[in-house]
Amino acid sequence: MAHREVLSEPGKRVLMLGNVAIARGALEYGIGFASAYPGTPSSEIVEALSYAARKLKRPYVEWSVNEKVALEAAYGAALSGVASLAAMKHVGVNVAADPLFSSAYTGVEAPFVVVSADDPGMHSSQNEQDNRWYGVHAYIPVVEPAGAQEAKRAVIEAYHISGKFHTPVILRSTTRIGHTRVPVETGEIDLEKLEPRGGFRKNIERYTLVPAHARKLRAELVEKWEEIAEWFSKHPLNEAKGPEDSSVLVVGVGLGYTYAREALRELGLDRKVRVLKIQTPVPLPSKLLLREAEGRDKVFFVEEGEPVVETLAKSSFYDEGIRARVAGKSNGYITRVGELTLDKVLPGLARFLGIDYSLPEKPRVNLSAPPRPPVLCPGCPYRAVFYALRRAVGKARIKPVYTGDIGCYSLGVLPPFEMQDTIVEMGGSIGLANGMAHVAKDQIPIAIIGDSTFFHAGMPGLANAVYNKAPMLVVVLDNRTTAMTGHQPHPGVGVTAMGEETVELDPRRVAEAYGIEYVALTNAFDIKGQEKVFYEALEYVKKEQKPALVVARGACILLAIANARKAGVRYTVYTVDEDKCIACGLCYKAFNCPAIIPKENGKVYIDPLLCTGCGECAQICPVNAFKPVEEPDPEWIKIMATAKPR
Amino acid sequence: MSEKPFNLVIVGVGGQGIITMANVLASAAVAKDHNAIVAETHGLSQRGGTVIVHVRLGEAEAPLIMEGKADLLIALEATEALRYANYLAKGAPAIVDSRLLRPPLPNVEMPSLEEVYKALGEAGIRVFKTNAVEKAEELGNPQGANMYLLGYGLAVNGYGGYVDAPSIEETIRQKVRNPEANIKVFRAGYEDGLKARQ
Repeated sequence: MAHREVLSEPGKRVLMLGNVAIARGALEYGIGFASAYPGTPSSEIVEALSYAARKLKRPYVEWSVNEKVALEAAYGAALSGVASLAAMKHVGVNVAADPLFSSAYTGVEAPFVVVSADDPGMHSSQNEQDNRWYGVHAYIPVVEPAGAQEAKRAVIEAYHISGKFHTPVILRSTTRIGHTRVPVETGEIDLEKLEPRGGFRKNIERYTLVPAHARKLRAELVEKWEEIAEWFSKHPLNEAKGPEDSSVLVVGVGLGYTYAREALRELGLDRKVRVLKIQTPVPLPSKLLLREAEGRDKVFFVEEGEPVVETLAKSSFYDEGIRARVAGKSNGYITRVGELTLDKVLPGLARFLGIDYSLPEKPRVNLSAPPRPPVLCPGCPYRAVFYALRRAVGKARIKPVYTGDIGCYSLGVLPPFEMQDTIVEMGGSIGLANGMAHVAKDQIPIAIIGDSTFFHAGMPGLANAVYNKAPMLVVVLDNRTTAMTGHQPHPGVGVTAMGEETVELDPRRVAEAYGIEYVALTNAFDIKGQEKVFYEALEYVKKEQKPALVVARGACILLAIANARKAGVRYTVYTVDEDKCIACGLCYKAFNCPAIIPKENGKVYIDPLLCTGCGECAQICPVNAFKPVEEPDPEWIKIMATAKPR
Repeated sequence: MSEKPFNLVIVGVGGQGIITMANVLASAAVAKDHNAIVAETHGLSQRGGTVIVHVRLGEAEAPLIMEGKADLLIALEATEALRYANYLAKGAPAIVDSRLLRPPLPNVEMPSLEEVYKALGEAGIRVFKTNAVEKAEELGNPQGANMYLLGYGLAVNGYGGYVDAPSIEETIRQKVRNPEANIKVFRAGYEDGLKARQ
């Protein structure tokens, strides 16, 4: 998606995603460099900046190979005097944590903001970590907008804070900030400021963290931390409203502020209770909190994620002898599980204030909806890969462990495939297989990893497998894009974020260079062809007790359709010959394409609105009941193999 | 807080054009100088999974609508109305399209359309039944079911008065592919909604 609204003319009120507002803020401030590895809910920030860079020829924008490199690259630009941004999802910060911690010690020449997009509720993630703790842990200030409506202002302030204190700043967003659309007032963009032009000035004592230097910098860092806390206590992003003499203080942190305000309104207390909005949670603006809490009976905290500010504030209150009762997520008044909703905040606040409150009446429907998890799309090449791989495993008579990874293929965890026995983190497929290969002796690990994920964190694990002689089959699912996060390019497809042509890295050549002897390429849409290759590869692993790697290549069907539309090429949908269909159910019980729909009599039909013309069904039907409506265009077959993002 | 917010939940299945629909509605409200907040579903959850988009028009601050507080529910897939009916306020209506999409999982028990409508009715919800896909197809725009339902919703309870037909049509012109074809189904939905209200 282009997110064209990021370049809306100044002085307008434009509806935009919170993530696009963050990108707009960075442009209005004037950054010269942005980098990211895509990950929900962060991807649209650099997508929007990539759109801007293609139009304006500045700033410099890249999709980096992973979050660590993205953070290092932006950090390097900031050390060279260019204001920069690195964006990633919350778990991406784990990958980037090493340089992040160091960046606090060295500080930066030009302003540097790391956007951490947390995902409470785990809409698209494996955990609910709150990355404000990284700020506490690494001594990096955190700015947290009170909703998408404050995102643009917050990112601009984050740059000013970074510039003032020469420190990296974490902008903590969450799903309901980045993926919420609000009207945003646009300001001026100064093209001059977006020029990625800088220069590195040597400063050995600051930029080389040998122990002697790091010890000095550590002392400086702790001192600076106090100064920043002091500054935050006066910062205009934080604001108190409501009666001075209120016996209750409600502290709304980041997005929590919006829920705090609405909860008070529901209880009819919006004019009666003092409310403190906090948008700079770390370091704790303790003077402000102490001043606001002093003399009150009760303080209630509403924050998205963990009770970070609540915990820090309690410690501060204890030190200063403030005796107010404190409640929030630290003591069960609001659950720590899932994302904030008013349904969670209201009863907790009411209970704390001793108010009788019951949740609104809701309709009770005595019929449940069927489960509807996300599934592989109709025409997804991965469905054919899973199907062929399972047949090959059966034929080779091995006991497999399917170590899975992060991407669309994670959906192979669902029936009928259930071919993801582990899914833990980016690169974990090959990583875990490295251990299993040496101990689960009568099983063969089959590491299933996507193309983008392979470049992200699969390569070190693969080198390890060769070095330590770990027998495993690595299947690289190469669909020519980072599909799950919205079709970004990656090192394998020969396009940069700026839309320039570049080299195409091939996982096969990586594997060959590492010394893997069995390396093969298959057409991911060809079921019989790849079944044969998978079988051979498994036989090799079994016999030689060494790693083998197969690249199953076929474009994400959504990408193929987009490429075809642009090229004026049409695909042909498939249909069912009723007389041939024997109602065996193979296509909807073992293959499960969403476009194939069973009827009462067990026979099937294809929904033409859902069919994408991949032709996989025609390969699995034992009686050849599936036929294309017309002869498929050879150009379409070519696009299915070669499509790539632009 | 001068304006009481209007809360709408739009539900369905990934790929049905729900985000576009919410976007058009919110942009139309913004064009009329009102506030709008739209909380969307992106990423993994979009791949054919269940989708809920929260649209709040007027002086709302928080992105998510509280259960029991929605003024209207629009379901682009009938069984999804069952999943999210708990968002509706007492007495608030639901527009539930007749489209049924069977989740592509082995051995799923799929209720019939009659059962869905009956269960919603028994829960005291006033249900408006639509055939948006057929209507859009009749007008030569099979992808236009979302715009049909947007028009239908405007007729049913006016989205709190924050938008009107001209502002929505102008937004479709600016934001949606094939605007004239989509305006045609939007108007058809509006007309059908007016008739159904009587």
